[in-house]
Amino acid sequence: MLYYECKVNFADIEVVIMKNRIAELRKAHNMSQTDLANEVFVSRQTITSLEIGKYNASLELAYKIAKFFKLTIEDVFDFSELEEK
Amino acid sequence: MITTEMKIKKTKKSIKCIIFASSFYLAICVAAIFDALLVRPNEDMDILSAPLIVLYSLGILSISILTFNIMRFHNVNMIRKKAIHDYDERNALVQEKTNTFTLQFICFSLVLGFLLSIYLNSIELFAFCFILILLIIFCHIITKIIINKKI
Repeated sequence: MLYYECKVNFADIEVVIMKNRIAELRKAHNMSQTDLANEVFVSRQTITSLEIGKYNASLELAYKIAKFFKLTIEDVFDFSELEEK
Repeated sequence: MITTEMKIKKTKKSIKCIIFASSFYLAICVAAIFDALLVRPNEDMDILSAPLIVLYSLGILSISILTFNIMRFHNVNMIRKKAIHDYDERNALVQEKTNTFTLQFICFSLVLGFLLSIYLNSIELFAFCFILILLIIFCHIITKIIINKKI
């Protein structure tokens, strides 16, 4: 029973979607979503989902995006909500 | 971590696989049509009979897949596009969730079929659902062990 409850709890894990500055940085660099997607080797839909906060980037993708904008990961992604938890 | 060059290399390999597979299907279709019309001609089977129409459509499908993939293999942009699609992390997540849901749906249908077989007193349906449920469980456990060792 305990095991069952644990499993249910695992399924209900609340995913914190991190805020990010991708859209702002992209516009500052005068780029389209497709251009950025091509630079970091992902689909345009992934960039859209990241920008509207529907999806969390993996560590690899976060690194690639930060590297492309010549910033650190913390400068692009906002971890404050994670720290509050 | 897999590099962009490796992703493109692997995508080229997968396109080659599709080309080989579709040429194999095309060869089978051509052989079957040739066999039905010339080697062992049957009075019931003319050029426009139903099985041959299915074979013609499969042949046309194979030719179109083959042509598209040969064209894609020689176009760098198209290879890159496919590589992005294949290795996109969000696409992988979507695929994973879709597979999970499909598996759940199939299992649910099989359990329903299993119960229905008892109600209908059908031994064939019972055996079919029972074997498939066992196969799915077996396959799931084996795949889990392999993936657990890999990651």
